[in-house]
Amino acid sequence: MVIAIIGILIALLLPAVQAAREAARRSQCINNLKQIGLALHSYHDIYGSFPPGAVFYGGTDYGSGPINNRGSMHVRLLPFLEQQQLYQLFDFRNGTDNLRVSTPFPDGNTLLRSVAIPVYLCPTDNSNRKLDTVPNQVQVSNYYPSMGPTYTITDNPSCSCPEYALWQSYGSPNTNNDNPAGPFTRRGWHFVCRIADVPDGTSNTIFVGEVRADCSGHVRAGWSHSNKWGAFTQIPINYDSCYPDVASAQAAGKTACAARCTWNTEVGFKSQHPGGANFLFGDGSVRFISQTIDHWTYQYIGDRRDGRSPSGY
Amino acid sequence: MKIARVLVSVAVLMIVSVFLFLGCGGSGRPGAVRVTGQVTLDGKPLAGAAVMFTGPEGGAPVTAVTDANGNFFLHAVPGVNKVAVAKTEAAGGGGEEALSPPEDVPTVNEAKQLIPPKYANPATSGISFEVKPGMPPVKIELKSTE
Repeated sequence: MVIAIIGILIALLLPAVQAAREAARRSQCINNLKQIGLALHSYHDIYGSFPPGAVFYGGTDYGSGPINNRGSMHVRLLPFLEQQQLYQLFDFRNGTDNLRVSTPFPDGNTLLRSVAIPVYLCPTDNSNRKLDTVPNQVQVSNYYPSMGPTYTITDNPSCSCPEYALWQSYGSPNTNNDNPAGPFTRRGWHFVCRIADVPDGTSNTIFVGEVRADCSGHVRAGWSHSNKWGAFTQIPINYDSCYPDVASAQAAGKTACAARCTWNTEVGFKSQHPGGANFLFGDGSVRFISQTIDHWTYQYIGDRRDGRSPSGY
Repeated sequence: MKIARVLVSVAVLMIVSVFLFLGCGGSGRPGAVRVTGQVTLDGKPLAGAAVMFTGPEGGAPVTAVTDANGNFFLHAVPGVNKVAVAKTEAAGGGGEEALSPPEDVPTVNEAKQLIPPKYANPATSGISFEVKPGMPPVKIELKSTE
């Protein structure tokens, strides 16, 4: 009798223990975002601007012609996250996405993208553990730079989601990859954001937010990849795009929009925290935003210069 | 046995409180109503169209895609919802984990709309419905020309 009751009590206690563990993971997750915020501002102090969201294409390095594939924002923040040694292994004279180095790693032929960066991983996201086994040795990041409501959200012809035209209607006019609504774009040196480029105020503008590798083909390309697109605020927070392909989405009674290959629904901010996701604002503060936030309010805090600074969300 | 009784009452209290807390959790979309309907273009069912309902007091929009008969369902917040519909050119196909190509200059990104683009924006579509429990299926009747 007593043992049974104790059993019941333990059964009741378990969810509380799980909740406490999630609270600890969430705290770590938020702390990582704050570290990234500090790193962004340290970078700005030295270079006079924030780093590019990614140098996927466009712009020049070292005075040479147009160059592509020179790494993500995450690569450029390494020296400001106590990863100076790793940063120095990146040779920007050539594309860095598949860069291998022979030293100092023991196997003599290591992909730099396969090095896990703890500060880029949110322990709440259970896709991280699985990614240890994904092919091509990729370590991912749970934090993505924000493009805000940049108009040029697109669609994957081989994984088409007809909703993308609807999401475009929330885009900010006259914005594109060279002139994003948010502070970041993968368009390399064509646009790098300075504090002066955020007239809405850094405390009113989303800079970085949470993403999930299970739910986005782009996130799965890894933390160092230069096609780290940046996430769009037009996609509602925690929109379910977590099916590996169209066939599995349709087998579950969903449309292609629920697959992680769409190039539109996949590139929204997502987390496994119940009810929303964490965001780093330009002033270094981290806020949890509910997935039921008014969708226009979400666009206003995603846009760095729309003249609106909503509060109370 | 006294201890056992105390334990039992504590256990009962905890079970009751667990159920009380469960009542507050859930989808984060309290009171959402299942809405069914059909989209037609010039009177003919429109398949593969994306439908969006925006709640009366903001919140995240909800979306669905119509089936071969133009039918859809979604869960919307009660009240007057502005509605948008889009149908775009789809290449269709497999859905490998391809990454977006570097050549995506802005003009390529413009949606190739197969119905008037005004319908794709809830502010310009001119379509709205009052969502309430037990409502009949909605009819969204679009016209290819004004």
